[in-house]
Amino acid sequence: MNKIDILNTLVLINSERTYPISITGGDFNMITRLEDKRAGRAKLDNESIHFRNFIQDNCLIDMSSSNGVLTCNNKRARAQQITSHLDQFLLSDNEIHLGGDFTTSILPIIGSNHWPIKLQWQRPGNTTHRPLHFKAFYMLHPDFNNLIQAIWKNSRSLDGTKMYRF
Amino acid sequence: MLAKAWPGNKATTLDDFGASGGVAIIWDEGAITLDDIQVCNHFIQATFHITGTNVHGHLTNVYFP
Repeated sequence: MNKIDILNTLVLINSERTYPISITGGDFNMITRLEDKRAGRAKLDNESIHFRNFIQDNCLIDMSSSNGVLTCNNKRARAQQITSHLDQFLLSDNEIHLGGDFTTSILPIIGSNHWPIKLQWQRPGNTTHRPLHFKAFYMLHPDFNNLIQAIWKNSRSLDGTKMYRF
Repeated sequence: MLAKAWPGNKATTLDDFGASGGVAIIWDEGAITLDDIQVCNHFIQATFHITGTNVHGHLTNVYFP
């Protein structure tokens, strides 16, 4: 089974899932951008492009870590070292309905050539670190402008930017 | 090893593939419930419920070759 086969299997399984929220994490062994690799051959192969399309087509969010990008190295030193962003968490974009904050951080390396990643969910109550996801259909709401205006006017007592208060 | 590192927790695993790979999900049953666990060739998938909340979802742990 190659990587594309596995992605297709995940699509099939996820199409039958019971709950809208999904969290997929692990070693995908693929990058989606050239910036995800330092040194070595710099080219996105067919698998990488398929992986990028998988993320987009399935409305997944690549949870960027707060303290870095690279999660794997080839155990070499100096000029021979190649590091890549191979491990990650992908969240369904409807996770925003859960409230709270999802954050990921890369932990210190221990023995393996992969850095562990911690995914943390802080229950609703502190929304300061929630990533912004703007959906164009928000604008289709007939009262969109008035709604935003009302929220901003009524949230003057809160500290922070208008977007935070929203 | 799992019992020593995280005593009392539950685990489901997928063996490695030669020199690399292998997948494990280890969880605290007091904090989260995992059901419908499916161990496939390159991933483990389960439904989860976070204790004390209405949060349900699907968790997938993958290893791509």
